[in-house]
Amino acid sequence: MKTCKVTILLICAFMFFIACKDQPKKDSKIKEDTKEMAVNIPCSAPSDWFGGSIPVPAPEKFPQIDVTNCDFHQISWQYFLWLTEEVNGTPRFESLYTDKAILPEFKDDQYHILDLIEQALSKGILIDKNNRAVYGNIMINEIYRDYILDNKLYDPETMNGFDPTADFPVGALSAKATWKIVQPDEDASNLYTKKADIELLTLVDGFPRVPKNNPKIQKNVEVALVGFHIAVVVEGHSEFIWASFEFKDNAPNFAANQDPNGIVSDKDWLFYDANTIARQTNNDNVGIAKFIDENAQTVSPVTQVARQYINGGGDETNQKNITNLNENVASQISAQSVWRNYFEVGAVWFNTSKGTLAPNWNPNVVDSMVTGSIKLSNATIETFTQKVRSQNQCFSCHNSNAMTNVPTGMKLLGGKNINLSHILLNNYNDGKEIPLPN
Amino acid sequence: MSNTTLRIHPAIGMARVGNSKEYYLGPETMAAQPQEGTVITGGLPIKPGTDSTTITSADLRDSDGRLKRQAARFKIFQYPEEGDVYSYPAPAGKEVLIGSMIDGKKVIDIIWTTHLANKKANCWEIDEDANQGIALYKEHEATYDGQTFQVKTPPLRNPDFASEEKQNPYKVNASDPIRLSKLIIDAGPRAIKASEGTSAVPFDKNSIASYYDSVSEGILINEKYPIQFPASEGISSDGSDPISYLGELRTEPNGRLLVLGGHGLACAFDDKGNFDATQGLCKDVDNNNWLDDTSDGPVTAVVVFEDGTKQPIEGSAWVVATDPAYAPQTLNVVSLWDDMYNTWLEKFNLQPDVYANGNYIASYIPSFKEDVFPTLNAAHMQMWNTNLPEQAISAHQRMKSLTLSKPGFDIMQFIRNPDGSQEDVGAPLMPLSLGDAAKSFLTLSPQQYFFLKQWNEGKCKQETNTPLGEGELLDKTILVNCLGGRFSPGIDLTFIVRDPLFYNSDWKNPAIGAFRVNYQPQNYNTATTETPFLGVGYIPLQSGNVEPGDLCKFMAIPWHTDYNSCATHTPDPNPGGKLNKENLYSGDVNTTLFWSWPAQRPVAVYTFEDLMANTDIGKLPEQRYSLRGKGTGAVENMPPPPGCPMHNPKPFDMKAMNVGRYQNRRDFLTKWMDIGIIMQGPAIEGYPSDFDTDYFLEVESGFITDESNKVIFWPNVVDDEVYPPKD
Repeated sequence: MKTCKVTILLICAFMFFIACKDQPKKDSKIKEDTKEMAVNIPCSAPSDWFGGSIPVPAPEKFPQIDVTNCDFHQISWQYFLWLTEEVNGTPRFESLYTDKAILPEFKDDQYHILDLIEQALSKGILIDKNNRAVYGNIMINEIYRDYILDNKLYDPETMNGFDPTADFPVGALSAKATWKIVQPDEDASNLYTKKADIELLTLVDGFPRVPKNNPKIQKNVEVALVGFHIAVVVEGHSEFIWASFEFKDNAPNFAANQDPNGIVSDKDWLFYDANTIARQTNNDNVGIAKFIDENAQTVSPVTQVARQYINGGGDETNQKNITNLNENVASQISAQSVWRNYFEVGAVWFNTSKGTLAPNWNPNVVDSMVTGSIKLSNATIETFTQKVRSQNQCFSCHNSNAMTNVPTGMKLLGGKNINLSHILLNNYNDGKEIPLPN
Repeated sequence: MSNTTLRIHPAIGMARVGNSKEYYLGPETMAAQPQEGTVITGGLPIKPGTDSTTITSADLRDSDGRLKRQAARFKIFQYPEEGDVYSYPAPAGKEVLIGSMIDGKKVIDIIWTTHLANKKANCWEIDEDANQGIALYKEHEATYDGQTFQVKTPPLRNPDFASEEKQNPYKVNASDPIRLSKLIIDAGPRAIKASEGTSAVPFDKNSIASYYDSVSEGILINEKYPIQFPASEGISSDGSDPISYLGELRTEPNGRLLVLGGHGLACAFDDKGNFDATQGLCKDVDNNNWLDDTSDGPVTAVVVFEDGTKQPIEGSAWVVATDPAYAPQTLNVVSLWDDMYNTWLEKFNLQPDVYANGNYIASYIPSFKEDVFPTLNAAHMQMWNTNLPEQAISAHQRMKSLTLSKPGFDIMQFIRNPDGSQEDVGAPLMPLSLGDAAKSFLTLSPQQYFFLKQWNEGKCKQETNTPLGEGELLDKTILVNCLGGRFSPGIDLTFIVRDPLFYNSDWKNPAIGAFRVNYQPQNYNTATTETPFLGVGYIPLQSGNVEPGDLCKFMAIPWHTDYNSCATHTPDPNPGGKLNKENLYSGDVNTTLFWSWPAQRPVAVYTFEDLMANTDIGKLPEQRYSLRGKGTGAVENMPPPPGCPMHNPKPFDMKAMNVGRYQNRRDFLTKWMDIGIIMQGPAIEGYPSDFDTDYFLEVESGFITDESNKVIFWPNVVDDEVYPPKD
């Protein structure tokens, strides 16, 4: 076992060297030959995904030779369908663990209270047309959780000393969902809805926020799923495949060469008023957002949302594959299923013939290996960072750079592959967050 | 023959303009550097009449609320045991004051001569469109009026001056006597005797040139010297003021020299050289038909001994009078010292143990305190002048806590390589501010990068490698407190500090020493009233004959417009091409706004007034823009101001690109003196003793109301919504 571990370390060290040099692996058998495939065979979902149980995704069997762009989108969709498949009356993702389950004492935590309102990096809040904040929650699967528990990565000291080249195991999965609060008279029949407990906003440093400690809770609030991130490690891709899904009527896409003073759409969308001009969309409200009525939990200003990069950008093959696959899934999925109203915005991963994950990697410095939807954002999860060039894709934030914004008294965290996980980084930085009782 | 050599320090001194007649002395400690025995860090100016007592917020303005000037103080040092060849650093010297002994002779007086001039209006443009810096002084192709030709300079400012027809700005003769007499402010030389230095000697229109004359061995009054104050007859209007004064000389009773600059005036003139306040301010850097009262020139001295003999000091120092220091304790990440030191390391073989034969020496062990910490500390200080978000503040503050030990992470992954390979890469690479001419983002100077790299690899020691004597430490300190890195054109000095021709190459002569401007001593006895005394002078990369006025001439004309503009901008060159409304959302162009030179030109500040009013006691309040008076609310596609061609609109403009500055450049001319100064809490009168001593807050702002925009934390992008100011 020890020999095996050393071997893995050596391999990882070698991979680090390759990544640092940003040189193609000459002897690599992993090759992406996506163009030909896309032209000849439109990217589609296997028919056996529909009409019965969705096959359990097999990340360990992810293709290693002649892998195509379509393969990544297919497995992303497969995971989405599998996670949203009903099991015992609720979608399977409801049985995932919460991000707090990385702590031994809460390792079984599955109480999916909605506790996020601040978007990552921007710290802005997505405010819907009813002046309610859009909520989020984070989930992890058993493999993800156990890797952290087994390696005691919840302990800052252990994490600090952890092998920088060590990777999350194949099959490790995290997900982030965003939820809109459904008003009593609102038609949410096209969306997946549920009753959830939410943490309430209060004034923190002068602005509406969910306080870190002892937030007030409102139980059984009707919420509708509007966005869903899936990050999963498949064989050969320790960087995770980062895939994102949204409700189809969330927001319009920017046109090619979108004029900042031109409208984005002449229709109303869930988070967009018809005829709003582009420059009035996706405007961060950090430092601006205010309570209208704290008791009613209403805040302003309403966020106008548009999707800056259709399909999360990427080359023509990527764009076509996503479009084709989305259409194909929609055509095969049951007409009664709400999940036909969701689509894959895009997915992003590494072309491993051009580089693999290594410590201290940031796509803003070396991006040659990033492929797929290279400007991927979810309009409900990364609303405000879409427009910031250094923050407009998953790896902008989820990378293996060191973390230096740590509190005084904490050790700076060196660059590590596992730093891709913000669940770990937040835990390192903020200390243990105590889950609330269900 | 005495072996003792005398040199004046600092090699380059910095005076700063103010609209008050009063003054304080420039700082003689390095910005942000910890000081023994006090929590107040370095960089604060000094109270006049004292050796080193630093000012408080009560000393910034006079009783009428006018901003005081900053005097440059010059000292003479003797180096008795230096030998025949100077090497850097020199053995510690000893200051020469009245009463000092030099080789057994008592000093009874010091005669100082200084010459101030401003040649900005007869200089070449910085060429904002080309944005190539000093490279425009190499042979290159230029196009004018459909014709292409080879040139060795950028276009000349004021090309149509005294001409009936439009002129090709590349082919106008800069040495035309009319241009030399009507576009150059030349106050001429002035001498002052320390023993008689109780009253100031002005560099003004009405006094007569004077200088130490080596033949008569005394101060010579020369009425023939052609003192020039162009366009100085007229009535002040709307920020255009006739300029008839560039500053003055004073001495301390102990013999040291003080040089004061002007009052921050700008003056508009017509193409015949007459005062004309109607001229427009159409550009940020190169405004034709304008003058300002900044200046520069050589500082020389003669020591007078009790036995009647005199010892002239062969090498000269130089004084530069430039804009006010609005944040004197905030260290620039790249300082003027870093640029100048780099030139001396790489071009003059200053310290072969650090750099030799084209390479930094891998075995060199830098000093953490001297070579590494200042860069980290500068990063920590940037939060006080910029609108950094919380997580960035936290990360920057941690830089201050790093020690001699290897950092616990690979810091070089966050430092932009100055080898040119990463100039267009923004975050996460630092420094995250706008770059030098032709470069998108700022890089550390090569030796700063080298020192950090050595430390990152564990090759570092605490103690200094280069123990500087008091005089050479002063040379360094003055330059550390000035802006480096981004010379397009910058604010104190510009790219000329990277040109070996700019310096006296005879630096191993102990009478000269390192870092000295290549001054060609003038024979003032040849001056005639009919002929302008100063010529074209120094041309970068071509002619090293540096005259008075040759340093400040490359800076913006007037300086005010550049300062006003240099809040935040998108990178230029933009890595994705020129920004326009078609590519704004393409993701190819960078639409993020970055700071220009925030340590020297604060953008967003925490005010002392807000801190004291904060109900959350002692906690930092929201920020305000440093420039926030009437006329600073952001406007987009503003029509060209009066006097400027209508075909001069910005090619692409959005409100967020204009925050934190006057929308009409002209407003700055009458409001620059109202900008507040950022000082450390304990240096502020009335600062509560239980508040954080590491706060740096704006005080003494003259902006009664905030009519700017609400400061939004970075990242800011060009299509951001802008909001009314904080209530």
